[in-house]
Amino acid sequence: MRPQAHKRVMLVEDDETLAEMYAIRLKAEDFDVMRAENGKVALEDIPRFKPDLILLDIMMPEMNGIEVLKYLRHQKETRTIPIFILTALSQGRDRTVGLEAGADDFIIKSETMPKEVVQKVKVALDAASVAHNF
Amino acid sequence: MISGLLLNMESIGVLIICITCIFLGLVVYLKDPKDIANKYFIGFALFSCLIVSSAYVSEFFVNTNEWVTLLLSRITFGSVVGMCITLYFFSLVYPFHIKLSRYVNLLNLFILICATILFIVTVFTSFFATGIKHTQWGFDVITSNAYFQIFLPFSLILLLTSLIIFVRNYFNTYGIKKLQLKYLLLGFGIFVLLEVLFNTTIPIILDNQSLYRIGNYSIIFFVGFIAYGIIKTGLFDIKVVTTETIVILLSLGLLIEVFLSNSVGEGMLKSIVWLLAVFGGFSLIRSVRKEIKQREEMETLAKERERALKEVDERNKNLSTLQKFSDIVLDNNEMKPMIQQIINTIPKEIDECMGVVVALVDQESEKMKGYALSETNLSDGLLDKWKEVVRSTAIPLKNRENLLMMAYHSQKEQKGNNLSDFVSPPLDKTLARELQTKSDIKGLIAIPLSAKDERFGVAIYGLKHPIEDIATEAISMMAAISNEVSLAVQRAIAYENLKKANDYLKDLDQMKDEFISVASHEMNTPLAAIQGYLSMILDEGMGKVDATAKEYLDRVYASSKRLAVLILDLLNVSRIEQGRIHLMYGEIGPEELVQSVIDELSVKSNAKKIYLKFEKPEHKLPQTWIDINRIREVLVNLAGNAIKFTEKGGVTIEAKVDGRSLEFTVSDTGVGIKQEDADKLFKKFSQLNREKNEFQGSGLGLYISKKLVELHSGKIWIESPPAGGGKGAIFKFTLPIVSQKPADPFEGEGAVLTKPTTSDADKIDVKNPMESYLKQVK
Repeated sequence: MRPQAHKRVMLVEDDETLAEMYAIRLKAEDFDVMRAENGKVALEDIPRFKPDLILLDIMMPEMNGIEVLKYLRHQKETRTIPIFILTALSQGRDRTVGLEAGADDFIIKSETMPKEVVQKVKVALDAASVAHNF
Repeated sequence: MISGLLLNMESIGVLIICITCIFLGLVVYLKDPKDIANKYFIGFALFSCLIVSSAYVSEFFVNTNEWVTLLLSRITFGSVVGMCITLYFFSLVYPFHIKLSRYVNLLNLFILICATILFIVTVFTSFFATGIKHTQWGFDVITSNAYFQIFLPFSLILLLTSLIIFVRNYFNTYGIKKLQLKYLLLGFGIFVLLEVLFNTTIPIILDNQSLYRIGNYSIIFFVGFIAYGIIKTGLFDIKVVTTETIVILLSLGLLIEVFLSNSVGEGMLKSIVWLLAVFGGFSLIRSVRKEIKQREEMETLAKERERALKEVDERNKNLSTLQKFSDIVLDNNEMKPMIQQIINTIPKEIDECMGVVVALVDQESEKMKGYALSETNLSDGLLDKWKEVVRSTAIPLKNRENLLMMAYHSQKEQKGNNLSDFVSPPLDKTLARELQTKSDIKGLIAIPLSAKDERFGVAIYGLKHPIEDIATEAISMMAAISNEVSLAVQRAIAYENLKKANDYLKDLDQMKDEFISVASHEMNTPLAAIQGYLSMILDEGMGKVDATAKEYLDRVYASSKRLAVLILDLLNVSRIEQGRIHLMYGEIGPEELVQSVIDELSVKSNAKKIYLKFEKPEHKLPQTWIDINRIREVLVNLAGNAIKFTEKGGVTIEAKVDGRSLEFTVSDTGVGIKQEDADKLFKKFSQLNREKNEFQGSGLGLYISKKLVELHSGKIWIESPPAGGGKGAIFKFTLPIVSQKPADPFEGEGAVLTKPTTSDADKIDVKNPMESYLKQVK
């Protein structure tokens, strides 16, 4: 196996405090974190940053998360990147819509603690790199 | 003796003839003295009468005064000329004036002059009638050769020409005129024929004039046919009252004859004749009367029918007009185009109306404003001027100085012929007059527009004639149409109000939806941060905290968990209250459901060292379609409560089939519930014990559970607790077994996924959702 460079996680979240919290937690696990405060900025930055995984908040101003998700899934470069949707609502509808639009997982911010979030990220990236290597 | 009798029979005949001739002539003449045909006719009648009477009288003087006889005979001959000439001229003007060229008119004048000369010569000279010859039957008139060379040909040619003209006329007329002419023709024809025959041809053949009388008396044919023509066909347009008069006169005449008779025998004969005449006359009268009555009845009926048809026609036209307007009203929802269409159609449907102006009340400004104007085919400049005036007119409602406002205030039609009376003040009088003259408006009527108690405005109709000359039907029509317009306005206003209310409600709905989502999101976001950081500190030991701080932070964490539950419950209740919950059905077996609940809560029950078990029934329970998450929530709520209030023993969950429903039971061995408290339990914010408990609820759990169960058409209740409590509580709920996935009316609806930006000023302010929501809803 090749020596692993630091994995890059793109965090698309408009709330400062929350974004900071996830970033701290991720960085504590040696992830490179880039934050975008909304969908438009995210789409601009993703091609440059080339993340290995994207954490995508659903409810955002200007462009909602689902639109961003669909767009990303449409692009060749970002079609296979693991994307987790973050939501504050525990409504079932968000989950179905999100998963149908192509998200890999669905995280309820107020129920899933940062530790778990990072755990999920790790699992997904491991799986992805395994697939990649094959 | 017999000849004497005959002679006296002859007198009856002559009398009859003369009376009827004169009478007929008079009747025809008096019918229309100005009609030239009637003048000729009376001339003809008089001459004919003269012929017969002079011939008759001439005989009395044969033996006494020959000269008188000769004179009277000459008069007879002269009358023949007169008769011929009047007949000739009559034929030229009856039944229609034959247009003749100047030359023919000159010729006619010449003929007239000749006839006059002939008449004078015949009567006053011996040029034609030279003398009297006594014979056994009376006498003969000795005629000169000139008689045969001039007199006869002249008369005969005139007669023939007249007849030819009559025949030609007969073939050129149609209908009743033809019939009338027929009688006339027959009358004249026979008379003339016989006259000619017995006065000219036969004497020549027989070489005596004994039978000339017959020729004269054949005039009765003429009279008879004419009379018949009058009776049957209204010849000369004479109404048939004459029949009675003729009959009466004849009877009188004959009666006189009876009294003038020289002997009883003669008297009796004449009486018989008289009786016959009277009898015949009266039956004639009767049949004629009947015929007249019939004819009049038919005429009346025909007139009635025509009038009725006309009325029906009129009414149909009105109905179809009103229908047209009804259709316009029904076709249109928006007021302006509808009213415009109506007032454009009005001038097309009502002849007298040139155009309509509608003015409506503007409640806010308390003014009567010009609203719409018929788009008639006035010149562009003029129409624009009208439009400008209509658009700019705004009359304060309290104005009562013109007929327009009077119509509004009195709610009665106002009529007039001057536009300035209707709109000035405040409009300029000269302007009004100018508009009126240029548009050629002669009359006006202002009709108020109102329905029930509401007064919408006024419609002014411009008319082609002064208002006094406008038919009442037209005015009623305009009133009816104004009524339609009022109803239309009412309907349009109601529709627009309804639309506004609807739009508002829709907006409100959407706002509420957004509010819930946004509020939920907004409240959970800081909560996630609180819990997240706390978890990193407390669970993962990131950052250094001493024991006291840790203890305090533990309490913070517990509170934040409670807050999370509260927020969730509050939002759920909010959604339930507004009917915003829609169930997402999934098929599941009850055992699976219960088991998952037990799995989730086992941690808690184990921590308290009490049991949590599922008592399965013997048979397998059927699958059913329910909102799995939400029913799970209900079970978690009930079982969680049970665990909370049980210190010893445990909680049992059961499920079984009861009829067409599934029945779930959650029972515990805890403190139980008092009877008086049981009723309050399912209400909002009910809590029995306010013990400090890490799993303290929000007070909404049971309320939400109740609502969720009821959304499934199920029931939830507490089984009567044992008296005094202490033996635990039993909660039950039922859910109907649903074997097929119910239709989801909200298929495809997603949550509000875009956070409204602060630039959407009217929408929820995300920094302060509560305040902005309250502001909106107010």
